[in-house]
Amino acid sequence: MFGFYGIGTISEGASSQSGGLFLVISLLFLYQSSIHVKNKLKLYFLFCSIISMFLTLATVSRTAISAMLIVLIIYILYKLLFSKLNLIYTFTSMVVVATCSLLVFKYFTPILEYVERRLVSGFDSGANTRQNKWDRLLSESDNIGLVFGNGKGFTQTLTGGFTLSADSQFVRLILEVGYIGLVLWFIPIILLITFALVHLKRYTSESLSIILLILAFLIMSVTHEVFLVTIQASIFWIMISLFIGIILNKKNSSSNSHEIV
Amino acid sequence: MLKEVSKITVQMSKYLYIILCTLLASFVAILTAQGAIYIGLLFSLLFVITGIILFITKPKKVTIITVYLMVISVFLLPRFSVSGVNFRFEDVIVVGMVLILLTTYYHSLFLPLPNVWVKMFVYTTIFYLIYSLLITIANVAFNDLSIIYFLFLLKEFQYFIYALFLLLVIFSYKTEKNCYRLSLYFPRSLLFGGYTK
Repeated sequence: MFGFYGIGTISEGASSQSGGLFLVISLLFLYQSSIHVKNKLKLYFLFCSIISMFLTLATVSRTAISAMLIVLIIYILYKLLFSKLNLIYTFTSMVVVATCSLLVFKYFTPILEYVERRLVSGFDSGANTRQNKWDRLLSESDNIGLVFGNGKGFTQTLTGGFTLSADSQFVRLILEVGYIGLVLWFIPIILLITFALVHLKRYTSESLSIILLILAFLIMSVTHEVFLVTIQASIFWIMISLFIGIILNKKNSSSNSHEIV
Repeated sequence: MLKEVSKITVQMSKYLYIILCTLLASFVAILTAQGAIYIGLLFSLLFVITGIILFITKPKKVTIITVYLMVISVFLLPRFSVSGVNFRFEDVIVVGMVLILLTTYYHSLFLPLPNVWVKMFVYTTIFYLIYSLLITIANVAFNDLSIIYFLFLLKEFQYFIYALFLLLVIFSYKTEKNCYRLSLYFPRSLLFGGYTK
């Protein structure tokens, strides 16, 4: 049975953590769906991706769901506008998506209603609670601390223990490394996006995956420290390195038939 | 017949290291997860010593296997707690990664990265990490920030090491096929219930 925070033993205990994890897995399956040539495999991975997206929805994590929606819209728009459409795959995938949606609506109505209530009516209260928390945390630092930073782990002296509970990657960064550190933190991320944009036309699947992953993580960073949570952060960097490595090796390969599947 | 047997033996020995290391890693994880921390630490030590001996004899193989172990550990092995601080098996592996990176000049294990954007990404990340280190040291020295919070800085270093090491291994040894397969199988196992905290 689907639990309040996800799927019990296969997820983290908190909704945002399991939501983020399932979102990354959804994106990974989307990538696998896009690189295969055979329609059968493409559809299999698309189906896996849809299951994972539904699990993201079941975690009721507002940030993960918002990130998933934005990332999906960008993915679909890019595919529609810039990709050569495979008609059989497109038609069959639409049938798969429609059937899955119908099944979900028919059998999981209470969960969907709960997600809707939490997303729509709970959004304001959630945002207000977090805003108050961020204001309180930021007010604990002096101006020099806000500019240059109070040192790594300073947030823990305010929240206590080792649990990540600043509820925002950006607030944590401002408190710990200051606005200067925040800018320095953004530069590598921007460079990664630039790398992906430069290679987007030729190595579309990998580059698009890099962009979508970074975008999803930046959105989720607003409400929790996703770049510090072990599993999410590890998977993020493993995937980013894998995609960059594939692009570099494809570029270096003398023949154009260098495929990884 | 003899040729066939020797061929199979060579092929098997290729996977033997991975199987042995995975078994050892699983032992460490299971024992420590069950609360047998000292036995777990003993196995960790054994694992490190085995790794060092193997690295001296076959540095390239060990370098590649380290990456596979890291990915397996991230996806499948549970965390364990020592004095209230949570650790994972990849925290042991990352030490090995750092040691391998430090010895790379002697073994010329990796090719230099070719792309200007990737190089800039690596350099700017190192710059950010050095800034974080300096600002943390300054606050520990002058603002009474507890030294235990260096763990948060180490975590960021750890993720950077993952990214850099994996990138170097994929680029230098063209291991993207195997890394891709790992990335293919483990999310699938995670989706269907293979992941433990």
